[in-house]
Amino acid sequence: MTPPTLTTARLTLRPATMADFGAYAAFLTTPRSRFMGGPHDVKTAWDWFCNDTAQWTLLDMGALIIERQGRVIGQVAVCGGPIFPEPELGWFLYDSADEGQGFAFEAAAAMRDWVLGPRGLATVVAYIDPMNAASIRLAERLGGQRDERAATPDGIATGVWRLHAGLRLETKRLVLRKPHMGDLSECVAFWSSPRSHMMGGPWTAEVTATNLQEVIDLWDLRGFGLFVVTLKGSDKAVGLMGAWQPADYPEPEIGWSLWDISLEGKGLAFEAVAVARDWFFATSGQITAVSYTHPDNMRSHRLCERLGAVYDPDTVQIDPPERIYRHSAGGARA
Amino acid sequence: MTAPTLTTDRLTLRPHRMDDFPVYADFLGSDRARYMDGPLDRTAAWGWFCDAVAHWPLFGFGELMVTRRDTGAVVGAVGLTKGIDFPEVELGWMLYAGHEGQGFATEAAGALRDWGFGARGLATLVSYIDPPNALSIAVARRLGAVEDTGADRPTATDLVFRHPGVAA
Repeated sequence: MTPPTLTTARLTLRPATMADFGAYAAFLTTPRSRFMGGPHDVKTAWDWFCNDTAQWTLLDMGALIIERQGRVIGQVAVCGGPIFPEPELGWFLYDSADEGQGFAFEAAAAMRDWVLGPRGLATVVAYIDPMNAASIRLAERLGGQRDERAATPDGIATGVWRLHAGLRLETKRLVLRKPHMGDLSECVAFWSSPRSHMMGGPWTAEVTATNLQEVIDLWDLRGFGLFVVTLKGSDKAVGLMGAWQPADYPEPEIGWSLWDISLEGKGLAFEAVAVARDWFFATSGQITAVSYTHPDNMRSHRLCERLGAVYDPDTVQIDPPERIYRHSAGGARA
Repeated sequence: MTAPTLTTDRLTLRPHRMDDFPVYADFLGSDRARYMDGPLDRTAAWGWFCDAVAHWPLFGFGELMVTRRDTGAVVGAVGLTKGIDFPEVELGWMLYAGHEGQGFATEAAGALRDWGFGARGLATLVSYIDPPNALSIAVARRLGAVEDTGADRPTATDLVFRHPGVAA
């Protein structure tokens, strides 16, 4: 495949060219590569550089050069192939002067999100020399956990830290995943617009950030929450949907917001909410949930009914006036 | 650039795939690779395989697997290689056991040479050959290459054969 170019807050991660080999070889031939079996000779550096590059053709993964403000500062890679027991996420910064500023973490997190997200791997490991305390800390910040049973590359005494793909639900047209703060700009675009008035908006960017953080934290607290909805082929958030339960809700609510008016009327919300609802009932052990809707929001009422939910006039309203629908596990399906 | 697919009368030259690696490594691990620094272990063979593939994005030329059009069998590989230690771009070929003596190396190398001089616009090509490798010397001569005793070479003992351009 053609390698992607990824951008983070401070960095650009881009495919390597021949012009990148000099700095790459300079790094691997110095003692800074001591935790990677180095220092190596230039021939070995060339073999590694070709390995990192050829992966994109052979295995749809590989290395990206880390640039900060137009200056190359290192490399991040996910490499598989016959030498490693399984795909490995690796990173290095060429110059110690660039350490301690979170650049390696920022680059590795972007690569992790790409390989476990759009690339679709279920798991990836990092092989780390047990003496390399800085890399171990970084792997643990990435969510990696020591895996004592994993195979290691031949002849290398190494620890293995394993990362798992986040939750990911697929429908015909959509991918649903857990939200993260990288979704904030899409959230702000919707919640600052008048279209959010049925959802309690509009909000300032600060309030939206606080609320997105709450949505993220609720996943950790309850093990379920609102999914970010993306169109297949893009990781950009176009809505938030699913079952969630903020602290002041008496029971889980199934909710949805679709942020782009041009996506309405195509059944996308139904497609996403149906799969998120099924996942919620299947994994949470809960047997019921409500949808709190605005009494004027006819589109939402129709969607509830299509989902098999029924009007429930007896449940206490939390923010009147509301029209409440009730969903049941294994209930009627549209 | 992406590697092209070329066809000749009897052969298809196509980009490497992951499932080519076992046969590629078997060849480099055999005595047939004795004129190519071999036999090589699996890790070294992976280094060669990746070098061959990585050349395409890094240099805009590289190696192609050679298959028979009639049976689909992989018979070898031909490549344009520069790497970090060749003074010039090299045209090279490998023929796997059981496919010798049928002119496949000459046919495939000729097609890649024509692509190199033509579509790719390279100015000149050489082949570096170990002196005892009489079969490869014969292929170079059949391709019209002539020994260039004055050319730089990666190893002092290598022979250098220089290929005539398509129009030459």
